[in-house]
Amino acid sequence: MWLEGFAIALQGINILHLVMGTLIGLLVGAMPGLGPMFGVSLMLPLTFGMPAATAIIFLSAVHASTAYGDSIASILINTPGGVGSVASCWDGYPMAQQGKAGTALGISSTSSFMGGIIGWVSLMVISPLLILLALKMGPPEYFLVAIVALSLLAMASKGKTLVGLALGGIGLLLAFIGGDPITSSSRFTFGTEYLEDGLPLVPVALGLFALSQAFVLAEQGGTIAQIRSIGRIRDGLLETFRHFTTVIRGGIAGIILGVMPALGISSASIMAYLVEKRVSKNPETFGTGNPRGLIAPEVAKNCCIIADLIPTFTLGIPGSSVTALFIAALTIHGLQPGVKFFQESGALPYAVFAGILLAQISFFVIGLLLARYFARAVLIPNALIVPMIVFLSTIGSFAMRNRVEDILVTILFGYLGYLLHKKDYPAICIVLGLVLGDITEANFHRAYLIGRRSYAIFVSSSISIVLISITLLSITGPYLYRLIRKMKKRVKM
Amino acid sequence: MKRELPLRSFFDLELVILVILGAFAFAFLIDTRSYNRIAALFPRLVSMATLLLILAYLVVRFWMSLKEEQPLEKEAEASVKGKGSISGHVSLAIMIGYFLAIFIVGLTWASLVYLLLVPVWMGYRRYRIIATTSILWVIAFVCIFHYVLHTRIPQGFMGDLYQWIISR
Repeated sequence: MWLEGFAIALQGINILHLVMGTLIGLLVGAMPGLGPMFGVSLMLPLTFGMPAATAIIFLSAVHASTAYGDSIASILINTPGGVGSVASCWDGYPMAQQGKAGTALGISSTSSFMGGIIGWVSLMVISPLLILLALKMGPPEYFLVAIVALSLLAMASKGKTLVGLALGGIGLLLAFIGGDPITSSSRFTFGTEYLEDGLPLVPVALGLFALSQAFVLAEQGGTIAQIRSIGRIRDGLLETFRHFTTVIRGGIAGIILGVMPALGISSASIMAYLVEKRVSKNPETFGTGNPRGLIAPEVAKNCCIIADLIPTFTLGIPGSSVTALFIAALTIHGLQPGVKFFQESGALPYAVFAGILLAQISFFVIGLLLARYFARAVLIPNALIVPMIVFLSTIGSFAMRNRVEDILVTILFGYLGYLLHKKDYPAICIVLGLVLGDITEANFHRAYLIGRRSYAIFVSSSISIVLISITLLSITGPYLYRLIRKMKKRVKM
Repeated sequence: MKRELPLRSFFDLELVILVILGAFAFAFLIDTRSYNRIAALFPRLVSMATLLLILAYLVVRFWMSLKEEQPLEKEAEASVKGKGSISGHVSLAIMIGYFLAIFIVGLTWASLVYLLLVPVWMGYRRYRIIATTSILWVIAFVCIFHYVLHTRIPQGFMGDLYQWIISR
């Protein structure tokens, strides 16, 4: 079956679609603010006339390369395409500023490829075990996983945990605008028709991530790279192989979080970054261009993207909004995801899995070939980059819903992001709150109703207790760490 | 290096941001009074928690500002500014101008003017590069969004007027 699957995936037409999907994905991903969701949803209508295997292979290539393309914008202009690429900015952008943009892109390509391979192996080998764990989780656990994601992010906010949590709260409040997920009653619209459907995510994210960076670069002047160099891509490749344990740790974080429906991508890369920083002997070098700070989130992100497909293909439960589009593509082609997909579709599932593996190889090869040209972006004067970011953000925010008001939302959130950046506040916490708002509230209410209006349900299972412990540890962790360091110093004196 | 007086470091941009965020959370808390119990429960919990976190941070900040002196931030920021920098407020004003221009002349023309003028404003003087990149970017993206993605590009008042004149 496997040989047959690979034979189908390696047919000329499928290889052509693989390369096309990779190029389209790289272009979309490299644009500030546009991530895998945008790329895959944009390409879905084009797959209607394709054979099933070609369609899924094409979408897999778009998916994998958009995620990698996201990191290009994160590393070169400090503008993540989505929440999954935020951690890539923390050490990737300082590397670009130090004249090592090419090396950083080399690391990104290689780490993403290795993450993809680890994810693919997990999809093949350990998916049944992980699904059993995911099935044991109910609304209270999903609510707590969302809280863990928010608290982990606050922990990453460089000594401003309270502000990070408060910004997460503001993000959640923004998510409450529009219909209530349980009763569907309209909330927090303040009499505005525009807010009836809720605050749109794309204009807000474009403002906070992309446009805010335009403000920063305009104020900075000059060029992004402070040294007129881009470094060698080959160095990045070798650097990744040198840190094999970092790759494995990032892979584990990606698999564990990827299998949890709806939450993986937002927290996997951040979790991997924090773990790597914690185990490092020189945690103070993280955030200043440490290659390990880039390898870990890149591996975790791509691994998580593939692991997301585990519940999608095996249970028919989408691991994320992007994989929900994969289910749509399967359904359009008359296929039913779940056990039947494997039992009744002959060699097709194997062709799809082979295609997913080929998509990883495709973006790795094309990504490495193009990295040198992408890296030169850091040498372009900010006077040219700034208006281009503003133009792309404007047209990007308008294109999603064809509403001019969305452009104003992008500008307002862009200025807010700029103010937050000036004070080193983590704007990502707002976006994560906004993304997780609906899931958090819906699961909170479900759990509350299942538990007959008692909060005891949130501490009733062992998984919940573990998740609460992680939340408490991530909130108090930075303070405890500082306290322990102070005590150690005193003992030494 | 100059030093700020202990309490002066408390009253700065950070305080303004925190007060705005606090006011935002407070407005949501007040608004929950008009909703049914289920719709109000979680937003109420989140807005109260957010207010408490902001208050806790303000207390910590106030305590820190009493305890230690901090160097002036403006001096540190000024040192990293390169050639052709423009302040955030000016950038905001230009963007608002761009937004208003979209209503008047439409997205295509407003974007073209914006892409031609901002680099010059930021001190870039290679006019041929500015003209080439601006025209190519606008044509490429407007064509992609209009013809491939079928996005309705805003024509603005002038565009609508032109369409009206042609149709007569």
